[in-house]
Amino acid sequence: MVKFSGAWLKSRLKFLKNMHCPDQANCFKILQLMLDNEADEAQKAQFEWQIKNCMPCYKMYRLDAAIKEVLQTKIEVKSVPDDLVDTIKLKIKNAV
Amino acid sequence: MADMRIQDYSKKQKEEVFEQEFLPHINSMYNFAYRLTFEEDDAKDLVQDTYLKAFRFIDSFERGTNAKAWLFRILKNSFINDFRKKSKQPAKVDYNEVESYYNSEDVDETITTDLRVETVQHMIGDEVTNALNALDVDFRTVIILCDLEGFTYEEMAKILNIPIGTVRSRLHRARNLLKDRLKLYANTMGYK
Repeated sequence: MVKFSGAWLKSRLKFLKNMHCPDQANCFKILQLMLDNEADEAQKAQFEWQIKNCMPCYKMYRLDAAIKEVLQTKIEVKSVPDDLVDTIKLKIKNAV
Repeated sequence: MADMRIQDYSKKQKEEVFEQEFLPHINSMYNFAYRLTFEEDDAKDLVQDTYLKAFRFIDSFERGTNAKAWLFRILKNSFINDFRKKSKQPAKVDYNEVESYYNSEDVDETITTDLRVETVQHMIGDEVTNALNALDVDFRTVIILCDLEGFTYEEMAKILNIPIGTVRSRLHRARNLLKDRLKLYANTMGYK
């Protein structure tokens, strides 16, 4: 079994963390299209390749997806004031 | 958009359209208005104003088309044209500068990559809300429309009256700004 030293692993992690995607602008476009369910079949295939082969893209997608999820699940939904619908209907009735 | 063909509804049909197609969206409308104004009374006024305008121009709406997007477009225009002008706080950003920034295709900007997924997942609702609310209203709007209300890029382009390419680039920048804000909150709250 091959053993890796702690220093090597650390340097490798640092490299992976800091490395940049060689085609960042295009990749970010694809990631966003996937995130928002707007990608076509070719873009979906490109996305699958990207997240398997590009660590920055994979990390960015996971982060973007997590943020989207917390926006959808953790932001308070305000209740509509009880009198709002009646007020609107009354104003329309008076305006007609 | 759906407002291109003029209808000729009877009084009864107008009431039906209003009840069956407009009113079911009042929850989303009120929450959108609240996220734009931050005040319950202002949100109520904005929603009332929107529904009154929707009824006044109901012949511009074709039954069975996208009522939610149509209403959101009216609300957004009311906010910009009427409400924001009266607001105590004027827009803080130079509009021309913002537009040229939005329209730029350059996305090679500094991006916060050291924000961890786990950190985001552990944040409470208030922290996420505060980060979103701290964004300029035009950036906040695209995130609300896309992530909270689930509109497609095409619908957003129509609601905001901008090209789809601008929707994409504005959304991209809005998300990067939101990441910066979340990172700031994470540091302030001592999240690892």
